[in-house]
Order: sequence, then C-alpha cells, then structure tokens
Amino acid sequence: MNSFTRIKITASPRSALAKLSRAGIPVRGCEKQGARFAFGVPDKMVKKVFAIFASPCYNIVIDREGPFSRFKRLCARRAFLVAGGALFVAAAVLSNAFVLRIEVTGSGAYLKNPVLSELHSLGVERFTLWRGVNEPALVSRVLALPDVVFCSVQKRGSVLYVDVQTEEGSASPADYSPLKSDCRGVVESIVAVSGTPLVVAGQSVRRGEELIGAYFLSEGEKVPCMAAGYAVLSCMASVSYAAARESEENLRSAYAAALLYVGDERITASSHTVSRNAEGVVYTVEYTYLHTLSINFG
Amino acid sequence: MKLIKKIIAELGGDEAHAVTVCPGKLAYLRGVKAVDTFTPEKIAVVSGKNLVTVEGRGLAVAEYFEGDMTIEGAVERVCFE
Repeated sequence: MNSFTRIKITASPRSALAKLSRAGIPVRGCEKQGARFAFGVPDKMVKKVFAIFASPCYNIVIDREGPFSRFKRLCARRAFLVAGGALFVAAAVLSNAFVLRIEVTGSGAYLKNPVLSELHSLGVERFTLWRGVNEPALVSRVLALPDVVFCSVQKRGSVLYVDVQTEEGSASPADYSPLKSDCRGVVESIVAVSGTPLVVAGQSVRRGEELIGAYFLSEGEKVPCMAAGYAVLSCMASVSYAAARESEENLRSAYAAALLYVGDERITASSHTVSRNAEGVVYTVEYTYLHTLSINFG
Repeated sequence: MKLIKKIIAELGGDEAHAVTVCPGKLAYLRGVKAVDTFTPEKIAVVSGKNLVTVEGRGLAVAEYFEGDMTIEGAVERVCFE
C-alpha cells in the first residue's frame, strides 16, 4: 500500500502536471486552490518532485505528509523512546524463552518441593533457558508421589505451571520428615525414591539415626524435598519367658512369645538359654529379625 | 473493464485513447498527453490528436499516471475537438 504525501505548489496545473507526467510520477487528488495547485505523490517520490520543482520560480511546500513518512519522522524524533519500546518488546519476547518462575497449583500445591526436585532432576530450573521438559517422565514421577491422581505441565509466558491434583479427602498430607531408625541394628538394604540415602548396607545404626534425608543436593547445597523410600534393618532382641518347670511345651511357648513381639517381621536367627530360680525356670530367647521402615512409600 | 475493452474492439475504436464516463461521478481518460485547462468547472486534456474537454462542477484529477487520468466530480459534459 502506497502512502501519499500532499504537496502544494504555486504553479499552473498544466505545467506542473506536464512535468510530473514526464518524470513518470503518479499523482492523485489534484486540485486547484486559488493560485496554488495541490496534489498527492507517493512518499518515496517526494524528493524527486522537489528536484523537479527546484527552480526558485516555484514555491513548493509539503501540505501533509503520508502516514508512513510521518511515522518515520516520529521515530527519528523520538529515537530513544522507540529504542526503549523495542527493547521492552525484545525483553518480553526473550523472557518467554526462559523459565523465571515455577508455580505448583491445584490441591497438590503442598507437594511443591518434591515436584521442584523432580523438575530439577529433569533439568528444569528457575532462571534457565526453556528447552521443554520430558512431560511424560515428569507426569509419571509426580504421579508416583503420595495421593497424586493428576498432573499436567503448561508454560505460559515465563512461568511454568505444574497442576497437581491429589486424591480428595486423603487422610493426611505427605510427611516431610526424614526416615529415622526406631531401633539399633545393621542396615540390610536401603531404597530412596526421593530424598538422600544417608546410610549404606552393612552399616550399623543407632535408634533415632537418620536413614533417608528429606533433601537433595544441588551443587553442594541442600534443597528440601520429601523423603520417600524404605530401609531394612537387621535387629537383635530377646524375650524372657518364666515357667514352673522345664519342658518342650514351655520352650515352644517361649519362642511363641518372641514371635509375638516381632509381629509381621521375619526372624532370621534365634537361640535360647534356660536359667533356674526359686519359682522354676526362665527361658531367654535371643533372636535376630528383619525390620522394615518406610516413609511416603507404598 | 474487459467488457468495455471488448465493446471498443468490436466497434473498431481505439482503446488507447478511450474515454469512459460515469455521468455525475467521474470520467476515465486514456492516452492523456498533456493538460490544457484545469479548473473546477473544466478540465481539458490532449489525448492523441483530440482535445478532450470535461465540463461539470467540482472537478478534480483523482489520479494521473502514465497517460491514464481519472477525473472526479459532477461530470456534465464531455467534448471532443
């Protein structure tokens, strides 16, 4: 689309049109306004028109500039404003290429830390270039978190939204505390789905010692997250059983008492001793059993 | 325009110097070489060997390029000399 500049010249229309026609300049809206002749020419032809009528005999003025010319002049006059505007637009466009904020929304918003840790493990962090995320992997990992039934990821502008929905009426929110040992023993195995394992198999642990920390390490710094996993400890215990006299039946009862203490755990080794006192005998059954502890798992 | 072109051709006319008139609205002239008179009441142009005079009220040249001229205004009369 051509933008036309309106020019006024003190000359006869006849000579003016003849000159313009000879120069191959398209004109439009020609009007005689008293002694003046007004006409429109394409913006790019204005210089040429002024060159044609450069003689002092002609009094030529620009009556009204075309919209494009006016815009160009405006840009030239307000160069800093235009540069600022352009810079703002560039910054807005550029910021869209980055992740400046991560929002965890929905009923599972309280799972923000574990979701952030999953994003971190998939290479998505704040103030980094957005290269997309392996959405199926993220969704499957988030769905593995306790009570999560739905997860979706969407990037709007520079904000990454992770919608996490949890099961309605779930008993309690996830436990953010570390997994601690509730007895003395030796670690048989340890599995940390989320968080940091703090012990290794074969290591002796005391009661209350942390087994899985509720954090992960990022460039040497502890980033809080939910601990999830389990540990199997080999623990030793003993039970005493008093009886009036020594017999096979009473020995079986003593072992049965040990089983009662252990519950669902599995006894891996056991032995017994018998001591006598004034009222009869005391069976002492010593046993080793596998004790499983878990947090946010299963 | 194709229809006008066909009509002119069938009538044996010279399309390069054709004049199309919409009375009271505009006149379209081809092959304009020069402008002889230019007033709001009368515009006379040289087209080929003819002097074409358009008369009316509030006449103005809406467009003029490469010999094609559109005259807008209340066109009342077109004369050839």
